Amino acid sequence: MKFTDRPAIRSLWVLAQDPSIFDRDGLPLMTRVDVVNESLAPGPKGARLHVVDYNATTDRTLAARKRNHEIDIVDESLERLKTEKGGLELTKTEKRKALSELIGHPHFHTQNVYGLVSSTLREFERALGRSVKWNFASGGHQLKIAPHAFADANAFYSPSDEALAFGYFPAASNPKKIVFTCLSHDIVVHEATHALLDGLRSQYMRPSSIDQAAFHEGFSDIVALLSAFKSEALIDLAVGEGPAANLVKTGNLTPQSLRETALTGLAEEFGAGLDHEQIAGQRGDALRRSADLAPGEDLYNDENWRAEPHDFGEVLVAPVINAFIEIWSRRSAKLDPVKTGYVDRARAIEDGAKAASHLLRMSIRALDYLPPLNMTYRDFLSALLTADTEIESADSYGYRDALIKSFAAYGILPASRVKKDGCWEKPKYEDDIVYGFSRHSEMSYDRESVFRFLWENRTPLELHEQAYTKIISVRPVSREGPDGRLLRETVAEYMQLMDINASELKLLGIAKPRGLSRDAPVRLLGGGTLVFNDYGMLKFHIGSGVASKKQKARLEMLEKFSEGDGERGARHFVNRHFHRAMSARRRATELKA
Amino acid sequence: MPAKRTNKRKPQKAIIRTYQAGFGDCFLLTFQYPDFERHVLIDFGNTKSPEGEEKLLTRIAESIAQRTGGKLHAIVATHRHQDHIKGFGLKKAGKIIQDLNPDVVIQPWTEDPDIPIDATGTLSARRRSLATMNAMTEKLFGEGEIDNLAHLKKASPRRFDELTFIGEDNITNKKAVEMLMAMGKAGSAKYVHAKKPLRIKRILPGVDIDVLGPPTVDQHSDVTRMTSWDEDEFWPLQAAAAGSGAAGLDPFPDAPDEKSTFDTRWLAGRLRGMRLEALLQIVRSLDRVMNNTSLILLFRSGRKSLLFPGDAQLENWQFALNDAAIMRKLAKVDVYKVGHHGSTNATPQSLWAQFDKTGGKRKRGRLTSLLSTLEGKHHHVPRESLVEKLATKSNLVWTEEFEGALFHDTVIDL
Repeated sequence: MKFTDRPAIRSLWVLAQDPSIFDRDGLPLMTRVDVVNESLAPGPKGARLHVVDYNATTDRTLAARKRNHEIDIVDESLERLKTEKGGLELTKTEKRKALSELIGHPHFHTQNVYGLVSSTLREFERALGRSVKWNFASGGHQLKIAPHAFADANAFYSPSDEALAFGYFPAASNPKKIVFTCLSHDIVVHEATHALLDGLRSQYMRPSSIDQAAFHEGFSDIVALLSAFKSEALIDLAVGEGPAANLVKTGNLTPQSLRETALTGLAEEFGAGLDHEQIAGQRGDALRRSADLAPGEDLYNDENWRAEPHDFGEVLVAPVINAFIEIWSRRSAKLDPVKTGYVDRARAIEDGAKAASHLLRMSIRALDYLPPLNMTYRDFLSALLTADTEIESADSYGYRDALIKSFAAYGILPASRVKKDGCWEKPKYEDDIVYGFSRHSEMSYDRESVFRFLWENRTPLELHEQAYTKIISVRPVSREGPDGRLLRETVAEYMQLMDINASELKLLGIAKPRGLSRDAPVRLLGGGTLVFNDYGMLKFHIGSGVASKKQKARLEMLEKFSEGDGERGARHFVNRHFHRAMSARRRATELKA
Repeated sequence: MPAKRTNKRKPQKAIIRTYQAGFGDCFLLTFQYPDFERHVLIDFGNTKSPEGEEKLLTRIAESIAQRTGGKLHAIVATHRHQDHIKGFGLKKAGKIIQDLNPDVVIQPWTEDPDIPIDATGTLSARRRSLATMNAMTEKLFGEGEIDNLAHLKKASPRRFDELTFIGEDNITNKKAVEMLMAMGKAGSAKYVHAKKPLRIKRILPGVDIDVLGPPTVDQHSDVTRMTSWDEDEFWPLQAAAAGSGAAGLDPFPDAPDEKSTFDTRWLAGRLRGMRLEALLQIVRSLDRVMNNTSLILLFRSGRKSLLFPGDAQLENWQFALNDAAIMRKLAKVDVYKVGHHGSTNATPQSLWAQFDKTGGKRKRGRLTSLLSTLEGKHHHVPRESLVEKLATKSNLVWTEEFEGALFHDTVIDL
């Protein structure tokens, strides 16, 4: 018997944004990401990911690197070029040429997607304190990634194919140049987030409220943007030039100024390079949109915005990104206590990356505090606040304060209004909840035990006795608590389902949406997330029942988009991304006009 | 005497010759006057001929030449699809038709060469996006190109057949388009849109022709309250065209292939399936867009009305169906060329309901409907429920029932 002596983590070079974004030396902007140091088969193929370089347009499978260590060869070459270690003394032009050759090689493309998806997976697992599984019907463990899936301006997550597919296409400005979606940081992380979110909240692909429909897009953009800003290389670019190489003016770090440089400025820079119109829809164009979307307290309830899920996703991204700018600025202000007008560049950059990192982790943790279905943006805000409070009771850098204000500016208030801090409150009939049906330890992994708990407590938990009820997942969680010690929780999700006729809605106290005929069959779906503390006591019960008022909104949405329940799978995302690409192109044309 | 002269210039009969063109449309509409005849050829194409009938379109051209006695008076090319215009581009068949010296060639405004493709404005933009789409299908489905897609057949042979069938129908048809243009130049060319007056009384005395479609971009917007067609139809297609224009584009022609791994095959099969579905979705939308450039013509003479809507689908029909005056005229239709080979939304419910002359066998002056299809050649047409309606509520002339005959004549007393 032997244990591995391999270091747990390694880092890989990836493009910080895409091949058209350069650093000050005119070299493609690159960054290192941390990934699990695993044993790789050709592909690369690891425990959770398998990169398959098959192209359905040309019907060719490109040869992968033959041996595990070959990934190191590309990476080491990059390392040498980027850091000038290893005795390489090249001119800038020679360096540029060598780098561009390396980046143009299909093996770098496979490394780029492997690195970005691996590091996103790792980010989720770290934030949640447990492994995240894919939501594949087969129960499989490896997400397939096709970096050159076909010649098409499209990229998507397809659950039924257990894959992320990235297309490539000729640039409109120069048909000889090929734009690879697998080289765009935002696109790759956005698609990886779809897959991760589907693994964590399998019911979010079901049609429900417009909030839920838009959440997949909005959340994937949030993760993509915050991951990008986690890279100091990109933050460095966003801060702009200073009076000296190691200084930056405090004036550059006001929220207003950061908004101009880090959002609008970068968005323009991104747009200038890569045939933006074509790629806008794929990368989500999220940065430009969050920079453009001015706050408005009516936005959240504005019917125009609520009409299209991909538009409504923007209403979630903008407040998070604006909060990031606010927090970054607040942190930087502390770097110049005596008001010299300048701060240390490295510190300002580090603060930006830290703010992005913390917000990213909060956003991912919030998923554990979201209802399993029928979620709203207001639920997400309460979940964000709760997730952070649980870890850090003092809001020392004002993250929660900034989020509450930023969301409020777009008309989004916390779902939980009982407590002033916007966090979820304790279970409503906490004192009536009975324990002791199963052992404490069983409750952290055994679905039957959690179901028994649910059944015995159906009255205080306000479950409908006649609905079909099942446990979707039981997940033990361990995180580092505020005192530096391990915080253990168990997160379980359940759902309830009831098939009735529209005419029976009133028996449940639900108003029948207009346009729905009386004898139309209706499926009511409800459910909740149960968070148990280290003592096995119920800390939070987040969700809504089959007869809650959320049902009306859900039924209206189904009616409006004529979607049957249960529609999911490849077409869902393919089409949504297709429409989104169109919408971005339209917008780009309008802006030009 | 003046009164008598007028009568001589009024047709007494209309004879509609429906050709068995395989999967395609070809109608010869002849107006009989007391002393002469006038012939109008409406479409001349097919995508598939019946087995053993490779020279079918040439045979049809010869039949037309014989029937018209060497002179055609008008050609109507409803839209650019192969199953409507291919014959014009064939070397022999096209020449036969050209030699019939048509006086006028009538086409939809989207074919008008005087609307420059590279100019600004909604009409040019529309023509441009149509051209982009045609170029894309040409790249994918043009001669020799289709082999590049052969590997997708493994994903689903049936869906693959559908893809290539629709794809081939949507290629540029350059030769046919050029021939139509040449004939238009030799005689006169008319490019028309909904409600545009079509004055060809000199050529077809005593016959009024109403153009009911296609609408222009502005006409369409008025009816649908959409800002423009470009937003709702053409952007998606153009973008798709831009992306898929890269068909066959190999980003790494020099990189070595992998031959020996087993664990890439499952995903490769799935990716072929995704690609096939994506292409199918694109060509289906493209097909619909092309169909919606179709001319919808209503010939009226005496008390009779003959409706030829090409392949117009719902979006094209919308303009006409929202116009009260047009709707009144549609109520009186005597002959209906069934739109788009009997597809799902080419005979809108509200159109069918508008026809006064539908009814059981005993109905006086019952509607005649003309339907051209080829069994097993298109997966979505004709729609069974529509065929049943046509068969029970009208006198149905259906090319699948011709039993080897090249054509069927329908005689209408005007």
